[in-house]
Amino acid sequence: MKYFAKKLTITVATVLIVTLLIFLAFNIVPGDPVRMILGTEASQERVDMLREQLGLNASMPSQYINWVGGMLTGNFGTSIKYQKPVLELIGQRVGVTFTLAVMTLILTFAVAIPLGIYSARKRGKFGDKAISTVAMVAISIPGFYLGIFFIWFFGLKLKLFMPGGYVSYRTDISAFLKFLIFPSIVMAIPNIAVVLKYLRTSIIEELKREYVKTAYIKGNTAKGVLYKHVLKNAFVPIISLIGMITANALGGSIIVEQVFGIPGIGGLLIGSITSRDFPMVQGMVVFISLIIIIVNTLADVAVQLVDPRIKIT
Amino acid sequence: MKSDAILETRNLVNFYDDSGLGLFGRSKKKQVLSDVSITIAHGEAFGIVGESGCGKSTLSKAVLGLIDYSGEIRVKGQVVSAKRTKSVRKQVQAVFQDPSGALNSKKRIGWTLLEPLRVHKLGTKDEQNDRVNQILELIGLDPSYKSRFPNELSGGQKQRICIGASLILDPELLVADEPVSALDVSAGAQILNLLDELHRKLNLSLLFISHNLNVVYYLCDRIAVMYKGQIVEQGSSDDIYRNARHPYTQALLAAVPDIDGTGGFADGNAAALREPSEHGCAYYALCPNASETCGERNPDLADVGGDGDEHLVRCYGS
Repeated sequence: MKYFAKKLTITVATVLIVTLLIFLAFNIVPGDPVRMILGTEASQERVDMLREQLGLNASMPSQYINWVGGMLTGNFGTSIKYQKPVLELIGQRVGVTFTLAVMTLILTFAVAIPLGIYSARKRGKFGDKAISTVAMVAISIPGFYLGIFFIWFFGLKLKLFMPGGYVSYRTDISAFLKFLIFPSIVMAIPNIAVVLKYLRTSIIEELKREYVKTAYIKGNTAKGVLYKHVLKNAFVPIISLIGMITANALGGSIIVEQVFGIPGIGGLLIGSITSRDFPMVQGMVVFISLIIIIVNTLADVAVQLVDPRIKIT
Repeated sequence: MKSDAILETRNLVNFYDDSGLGLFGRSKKKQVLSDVSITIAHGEAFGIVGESGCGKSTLSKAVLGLIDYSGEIRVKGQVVSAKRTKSVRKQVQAVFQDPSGALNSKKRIGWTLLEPLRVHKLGTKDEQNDRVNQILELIGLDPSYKSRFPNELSGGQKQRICIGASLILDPELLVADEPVSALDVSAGAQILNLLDELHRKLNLSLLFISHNLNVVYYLCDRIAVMYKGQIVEQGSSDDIYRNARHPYTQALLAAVPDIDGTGGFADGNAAALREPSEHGCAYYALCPNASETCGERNPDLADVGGDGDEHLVRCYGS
């Protein structure tokens, strides 16, 4: 319990620091949100009125406290462009991005784990070298390029999906999922490369440990040593990668959603930035940061749970 | 050659691949073992001493089938290769230097002790559990330890578990590679006593490897002294300890500190007396009484024991 309390404190502190940085960043950015709402032609009285209304006349610390306090009660502010609460707008879009991220995560691990194990078993041989080379290429290709290539090749050439033919999950859930397959592959490819390289290294490191020698002497075959002893130990560092991949998936979705025409939070964020919808952008950055922090914390806790050396009491 | 030999090695040779990282680095091979031949009789405790890097651990790995080698290894008269069948593995078990590393930290002690029985499919579940309890009693630990993880145990207790896990298969030979050098003195002494007791009680054959001549002398019936991959002297413990003939063994003995503080350290990097010789004796560079012949040809192991006990020495001066 002591561990969880400590972890929770750290997480809350991280959230506070992140919100503070976001708040400062948006205060340093040039541009007056009031002028942005009313336009440059507005009269001084109206500007002063709105300024008072938005609480912009208060001191910076009290502005920050008001903002964070508002978020605690679920008030992330109001979008200037849509004139709706930020949280409501995110809520409308987040399901799509969330589905995409989950599909990416599943795909990443489903492909990377067998490949990583195979690579480690065949280390130095042709199969391993081929996988390493392909992985290197996969990490290097930018997501938007891969997305465009996928649209051209799988969409236009092979006609496996309809480019731009996004179907809402409210209309047809299976068509929705089908459309998300290719975008999630695009997002998963660099992650697969990272995870499999990590896993490969982790397994090879683990195979050098002394207990592996003991396991062989006890009569285990190479397979037995790998599956009964090494894998569980080798997976531990991989669990902490889940946090990183989630961050990648959320960040990557901003571009991939644009390329594939998926109405997720990525599109919303880009739209808000171009229309200078400050409260919207601010709210979304906080929201995305929160998710990444939460996932990372959960991954940390998971690492502790599988490690018997650390007793959680 | 004794007919009841548990382990025989004949002319064991092993190379360590020392090719550098250089782009054009040719595969350089460094010889770690050269012509090592030992025989361990049933129920015998055989010790190997030598400084670090002399090849004693490589010898143990070869005996355990963990590395490739050329030459011949026989277990109970049967020639075995580095690729071992389960039944051969079962006969030769090992205890290593670092008990913390040798135990899988993610597995409970009970699992670790049961594993050999499961791998070899020995007995029913109940029989396996009985055997584990029996082994725990043998190594002097309470059955409650079964539910613990290795990190909850002390170094000495962990080494006991390692010994237990290797004995659970009823091996013919136990290879103990520096089993006490990672432990503090009192825990190490307890482990030595345990090994000695098991050796006597179970008539267990031991291949005991250490850099510490005192420890080997305490435990072993016969001792081989290794230097640079070769056996330079081999004989009964008493012969080696009291009647050492090879200058290297004598230097090792002189290095053993006495209780009164006399004695010193054998300096492996002592200033060489002369240029090392490629074809001559391995100890030529450091030997205080080397002659010209020593630099030209490596002496063979020759029996100098007149009293019937074999006492082999690789030295022209003996």
